[in-house]
Amino acid sequence: MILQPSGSGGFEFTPQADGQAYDIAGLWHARATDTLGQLRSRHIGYVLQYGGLLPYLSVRGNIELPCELLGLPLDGVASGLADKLGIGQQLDKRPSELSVGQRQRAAIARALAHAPPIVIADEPTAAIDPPNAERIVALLAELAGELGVTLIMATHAQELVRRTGFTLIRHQVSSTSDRAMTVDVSDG
Amino acid sequence: MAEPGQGPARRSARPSRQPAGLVGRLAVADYRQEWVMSGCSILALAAVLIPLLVLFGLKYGIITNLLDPLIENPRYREITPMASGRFEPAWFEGMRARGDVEFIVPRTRTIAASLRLRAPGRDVGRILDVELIPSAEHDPLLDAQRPPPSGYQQVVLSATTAEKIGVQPQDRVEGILTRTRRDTAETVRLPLEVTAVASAAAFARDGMFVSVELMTAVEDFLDGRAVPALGWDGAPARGDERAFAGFRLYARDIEDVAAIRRVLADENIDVRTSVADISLVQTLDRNLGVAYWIIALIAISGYVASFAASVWANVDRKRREFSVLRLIGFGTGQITLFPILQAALTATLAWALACLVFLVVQAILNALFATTIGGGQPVCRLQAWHLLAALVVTLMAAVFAAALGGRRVSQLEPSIGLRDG
Repeated sequence: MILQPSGSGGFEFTPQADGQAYDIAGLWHARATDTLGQLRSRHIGYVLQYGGLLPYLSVRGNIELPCELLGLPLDGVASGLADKLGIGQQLDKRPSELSVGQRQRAAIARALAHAPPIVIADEPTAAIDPPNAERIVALLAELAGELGVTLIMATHAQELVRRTGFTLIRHQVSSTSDRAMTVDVSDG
Repeated sequence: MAEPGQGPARRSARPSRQPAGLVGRLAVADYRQEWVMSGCSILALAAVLIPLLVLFGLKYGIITNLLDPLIENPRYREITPMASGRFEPAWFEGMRARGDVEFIVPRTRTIAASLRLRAPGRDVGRILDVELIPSAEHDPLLDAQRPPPSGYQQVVLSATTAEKIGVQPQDRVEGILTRTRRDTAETVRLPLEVTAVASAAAFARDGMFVSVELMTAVEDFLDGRAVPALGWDGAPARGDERAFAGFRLYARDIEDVAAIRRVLADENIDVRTSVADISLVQTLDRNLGVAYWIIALIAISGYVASFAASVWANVDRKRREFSVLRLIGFGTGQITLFPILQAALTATLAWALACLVFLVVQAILNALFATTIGGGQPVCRLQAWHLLAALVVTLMAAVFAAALGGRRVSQLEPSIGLRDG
């Protein structure tokens, strides 16, 4: 668990490290981006702050998308995860028809659908009321445990994650006099 | 928290086979979700296409109405010598071998190319002086389904001739030739069979299409020579190779008339052609074509610019969704394909709408103007391949515009998905 001050860009240094450093030539950049994209698609699932669901797909379509991209069989993966997350009745709805909490649950299902070794959750409970947030973090941790997934989560909710049993890492971003950025990482 | 690897077998460890058409399905799903925006794009493109189709339909209709008579009437492909000359058989062979010459036969001297025609059993008043026209296989003035006149007996009458002497195909007529030799008038009668009657449009004067053998026999007889094949007495037949005074020549296409005319002019043969009429229509076609393509180019350029800007703005509006796709692992090519597929969809639907509207406008214009300025022919028309070509051009323009705007997608970083997701 990474604890961070608000607005410090918790995961912008994590495995999507395909930023401007690669942008030397457009082609190389595209190739590097695609190579990292393939790595992300196979090995990482993402839970974004506001869900990041695609509005033009149903909940089922969103959950199945990573599997479809990898050409994996769908064999009930969406309904299985949705049932566990309590959104089994919402599978054929569009994200706009769901509550914020349901959208986050759908996002968790999408992140886990292709059973990646790592799931990165960026403030997944930021937009959710505290009781709901606790239930969702608990569900996420439980499912990650079941599937043997390493879960990395950035959050400001220190107490919540302590109760859920995460290992905490604290990081502090600061700028030096020559405007360079430094990141201090310490045990929580 | 469980350690990695303790859970069930990783799904991602299975062989990856990316289903074809996933991006297409996503693009169509987004297109349907945003049906208002999609509908506006379709209408905007159709609004550019419809006037272009109608303008081109008018240009094509009017030019076709002017060109059709030139193409259909072989008279416009005829090349006639202005004066008598001396044309050897080898010259005819040379001309016949040219790819741009459709038909050529020798013509005898005009003064020796007529006879009196009479329908046996009819009254005396039905005797007519007719012009002889040499003919052969593939004569453009005669019905291609019927055999051409051949030998010394078969003839094809012009419509006026047949009407004046009152005969029909399969009737028999008599040709009468008279010459003066050694101060004595000599007359021969030649039984002829009417195999067909040419259409009035093919030859408007009193005439008779005959084989080259019959033409030369008539010329020889009138020149006082013997024609052994017909049992006509006279001076001995020519010993040298025969030369002809003229020819009947038709170009293969109206476009070929000018070239043949130039070849003949180089040989100092003055000819009469319809080059001026053909050139007038061709110039009109060319000028209208230039005007049309200037208009089309401006319209298409404007459309490409506005559509590219619209795709760019659209990509900007949907940057979060695109960056989520990148974050999930969609490649640059797949992401760039997204707006291109949507543009292709817009182009196809706009084209279909434009075709429908064009067909309605075409029917209205033809109903209004066909009788006044179309000479009974439709003033606005397009062929199926024109519409297919319009689809190809529209698709190319839309895809090009989307590719310009779609460059923006390839520049989106996955991190936007994390920041804005």
